Amino acid sequence: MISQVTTWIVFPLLFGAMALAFVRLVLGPTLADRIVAFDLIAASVAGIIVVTGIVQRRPVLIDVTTIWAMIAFLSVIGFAYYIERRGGV
Amino acid sequence: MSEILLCALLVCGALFIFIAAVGLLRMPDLFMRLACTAKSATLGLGLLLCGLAWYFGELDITSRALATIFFLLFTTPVATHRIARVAYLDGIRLWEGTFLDELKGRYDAERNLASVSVEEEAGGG
Repeated sequence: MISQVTTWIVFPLLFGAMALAFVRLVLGPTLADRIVAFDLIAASVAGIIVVTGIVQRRPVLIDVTTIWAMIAFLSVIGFAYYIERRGGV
Repeated sequence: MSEILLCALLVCGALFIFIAAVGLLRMPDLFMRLACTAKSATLGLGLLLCGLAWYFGELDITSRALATIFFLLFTTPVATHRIARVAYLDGIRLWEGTFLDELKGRYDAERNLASVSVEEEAGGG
């Protein structure tokens, strides 16, 4: 049951979220929109890692999720700092 | 029973992340996009991590999942506030239907912190 639910519902939702965020990443009128889209792509990838850890029974992937969330947070902070220094979004 | 709960947690988490993506694509304004994306994606990832903790059911995995959830709960508002502040100071246009901008005139022109000082706030308020 778990493998069917993840295959047919959970993974399509997560990959669909990633695709929609990628559309916003391409369209986004300003750089800040692109940063938000990148943040959501990182979040959906973290979700994909978590669900993969459940499906393949690898609990070590929770550490990967933690490090991934940290890197995403730091990169968002870095992008915001870059916008602030550069001036103009 | 536990399998049903696990499936419910996973589906709810993925659904919230998908809703965040739909909001990111459909909202007319950067700040609305930020609001719906940050809250909904955090909730979705938290539900997925709860599902992982429920599935393994061991102490170390559960504690790591809880630590990750708390890390997300602490860092997502910081990142969102950072982006929103920078974007507001750089003068991103709000949606034309916005009728309340409480921050208007409260930041000075040099893009520093709030121009409303403590004395002014105490005297004026």
